Amino acid sequence: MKKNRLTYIFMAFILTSCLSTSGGNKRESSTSQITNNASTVNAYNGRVLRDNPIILSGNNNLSPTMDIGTLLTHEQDYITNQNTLIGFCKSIEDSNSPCYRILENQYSTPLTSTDYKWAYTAGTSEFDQVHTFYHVGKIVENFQSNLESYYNGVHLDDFGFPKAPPYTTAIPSTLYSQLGHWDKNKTLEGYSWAQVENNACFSPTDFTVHLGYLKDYPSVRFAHDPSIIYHETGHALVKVMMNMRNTAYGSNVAPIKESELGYLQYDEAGAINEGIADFTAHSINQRSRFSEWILGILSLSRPLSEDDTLHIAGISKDSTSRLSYPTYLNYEPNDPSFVIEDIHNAGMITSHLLVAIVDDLMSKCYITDRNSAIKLVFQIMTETLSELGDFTATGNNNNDFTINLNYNHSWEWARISKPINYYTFYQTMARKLLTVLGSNLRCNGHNYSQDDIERLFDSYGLLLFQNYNEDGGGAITGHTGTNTEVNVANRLKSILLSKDKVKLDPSDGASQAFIFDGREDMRNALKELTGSLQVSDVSPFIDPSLPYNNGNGKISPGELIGLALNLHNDSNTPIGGVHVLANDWDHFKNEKPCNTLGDSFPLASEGAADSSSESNPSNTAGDCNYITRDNGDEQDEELYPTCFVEISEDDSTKWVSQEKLRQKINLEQHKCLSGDSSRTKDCFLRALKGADQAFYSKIDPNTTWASTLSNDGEPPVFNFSNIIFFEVSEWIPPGTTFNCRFRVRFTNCSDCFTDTSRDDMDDYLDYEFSGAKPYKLINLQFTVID
Amino acid sequence: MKKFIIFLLFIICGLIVWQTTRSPKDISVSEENDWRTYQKTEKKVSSHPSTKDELDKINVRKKENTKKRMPASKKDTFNGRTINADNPDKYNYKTGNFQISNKENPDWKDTLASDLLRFQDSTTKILIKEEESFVIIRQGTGRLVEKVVITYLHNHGKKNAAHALVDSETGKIITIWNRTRYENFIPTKSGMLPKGQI
Repeated sequence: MKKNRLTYIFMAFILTSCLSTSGGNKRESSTSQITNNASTVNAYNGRVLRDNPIILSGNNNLSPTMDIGTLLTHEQDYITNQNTLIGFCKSIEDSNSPCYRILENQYSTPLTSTDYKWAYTAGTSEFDQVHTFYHVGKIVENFQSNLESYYNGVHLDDFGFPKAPPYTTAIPSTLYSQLGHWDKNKTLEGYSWAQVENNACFSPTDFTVHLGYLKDYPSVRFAHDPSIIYHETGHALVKVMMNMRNTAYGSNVAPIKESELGYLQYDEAGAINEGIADFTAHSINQRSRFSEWILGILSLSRPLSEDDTLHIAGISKDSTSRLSYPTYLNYEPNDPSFVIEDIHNAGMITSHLLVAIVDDLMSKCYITDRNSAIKLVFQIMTETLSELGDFTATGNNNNDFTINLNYNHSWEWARISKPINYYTFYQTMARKLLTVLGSNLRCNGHNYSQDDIERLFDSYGLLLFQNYNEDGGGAITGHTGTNTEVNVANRLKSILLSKDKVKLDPSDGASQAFIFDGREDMRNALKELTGSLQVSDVSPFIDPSLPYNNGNGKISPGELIGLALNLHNDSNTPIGGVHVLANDWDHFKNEKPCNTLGDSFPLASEGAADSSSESNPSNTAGDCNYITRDNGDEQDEELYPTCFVEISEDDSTKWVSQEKLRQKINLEQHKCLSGDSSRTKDCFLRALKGADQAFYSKIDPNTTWASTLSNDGEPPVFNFSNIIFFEVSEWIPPGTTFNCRFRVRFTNCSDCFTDTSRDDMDDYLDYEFSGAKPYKLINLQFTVID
Repeated sequence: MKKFIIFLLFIICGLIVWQTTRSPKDISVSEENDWRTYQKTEKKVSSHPSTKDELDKINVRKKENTKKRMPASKKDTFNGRTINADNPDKYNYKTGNFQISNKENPDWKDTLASDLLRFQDSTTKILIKEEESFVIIRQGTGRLVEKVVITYLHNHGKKNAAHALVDSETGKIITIWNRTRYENFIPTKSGMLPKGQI
């Protein structure tokens, strides 16, 4: 008996030892959901969603309400050996000011783990934070290790001592000593559950990433889709790259302001930024689609490659069928019949080209590991953005090269005079590809040739430049270097058109411009423009209630109005990146408008400045045929507002400056729109700074922008980036006629960036963008009525 | 005596618990003084030192006094203001021999806030933080400016922030940069329609 009892006890012992010990005290459910808590992980570990739920489940029709916990596996993920969610970078290892940190939102305290274990029930705030930390860390650490590796190759020899770079580089040697590799030692903070509905944001002021949630499914957090985490962090990386040279300058001469990629609701710089951010996601998961989960729920996922099934028929990786510029700027793959002007949609051209460069490098340089090719693309992108964002105006280590005009005006140049667009970005990127990988077998023991670069860029419609502009834009040195010329045989798809092809709609009875003056509309616009800090300088004479705005569709004294030119494309090819400028520029002499600028307006008898004794071009400051080298700051040079005015004088009418009108009607200086007696040039009609330019994504052949953006025959809605806002002084005598001389250009333009009057077809020098040559001048006249 | 010791132990324990669990949201006095909130009330703009709640909404965290890694170079100053010069070889600002075109006005922040709130309704608040004071020297002439962070707190919960350079006398904004960037994943199909045409 005793023996049997012992046997039974022994058997019971053997049998119970076969029970699973995972899941802590709870047995696993029949659905095999992992219990994710401290008892199931080792120190420093936790569990995260390694990808978004669609990918992990393999189910494209996953319900938004599904339990993401079912997607966890037994495998653990290394999180951190710290007791809070902080990560470090090279030279940034202070736990109180780490390289990056994750919190639930901006109100919360940091999550801490006393046992250094990071496993929490899926879907809880703690889980979301750990998961976000894991994915932010991936991107940041990839970026930093790649950057360090590249920097070492450029600036250090095999023994770690400084050396002369093997080629012209925009990466400064002081990058690490001045902490330019990470935004001056700021901590990147990510919020896994920010209080933003259907939204996410990057705030460059405090270097934070905010991941929101879906309005219709509040438990679905944007953080649950790692692509979104990578995308938002991508914007932070863009900021770092754009400001490397500004930060690394590190002295009393270092720029105070910082570079940005994108200023308006829609502009091409913003579109490029979005494309880079999408590519950042691809750099981790290497898939052809962005955000299958979150954006998929919203039916807004974006493809990153032509072979993605989301694309319409006719788009493929074939060189004739790429997602090309400018054709696909307004393309929405989820609803191809809908035309949309949005930086995310326009950004797809950039994301697709970046992915294609990866593919091409793998093919042409025999790179077998895709990660290696992605790293090369990131290195090229870092070179490109670091140069283009340089507010010290030096651009790279070639002493003869300059960019963004000069130190004093670089910010204004980047904002409006010569902002980053598809022309400047891809010209610079092509140059970097050629410089870094095009020789000395630096592309995995091969050379990535000029023809390779040009054929690929051309297949995207982005072979928009005539040469690689190695000599930069400086007034003295900008035409003295040797520039690599584009092989014209490679330009098959990129069609360049003369700037004369853009004009006001010439159709019979067509409008020349649209006017916005409804009181409620303009009050909301002003509230939004100032409340988003796009505009800050509004005349003291513009009353917030806009009492003069009468909504009659005309321009009346005292109003705040919006103007949008009714632009027409007079060619058989689409034009992209149409940019209208209304900032002050160099087109006057001695208070009189010059008529030597290409528009032959006005006539001498109508008050044009006398330029009969001038040479052309002139070297005398103040002449009509001389363009200011310093944005109006040198002696005898001044910039004048876009708009001037007609007055009666000696039985004839003359076109004169607004200051002349002020003198004629004896208006006191302090009553000018600026409210400042010393600023009377724009006394009566003034473009709001910040809203003094307009952008139009694309204009189809032989039609207008309005028709291009029309859906189902409905008139297009104008967003703020399509409208130039003007203050109209209440002191304008009714019946006064104004002429606004707008400067217009577009991106696939043969003579907006290239000086076609030169045999070498070099780019215009930077200072020339203060004048008329790179632009099509469009004069718009209107009378201010009572 | 025994009761006294127990009471003392209780106090000590309480202090230990309070110290270790003190919320990092606590802002030091000096940090608080850096921020000021402005809001429209009827027809004037009132201000107060930013409250803890307001600072939480814009993510102001307590900064520990630790040795943070700083960039290698140190910048020259003038009367406590960092010098930012365009051509130090030509204009030797280190001698202090340059003209200054404006003067410091203690009310510059109030003027700035009034300007910023002009077109907002009474539910919108502005928080302004001074980051650094500069004297910007261009072609030999200096200008006193302030680098600030401006944050709009709108009633719908959205915040918009940016850096700005502000004239230290007039409170006028010279430049703005680093504006908050919202994705707005769901594209808006609304906008403005013209009222007329030329």
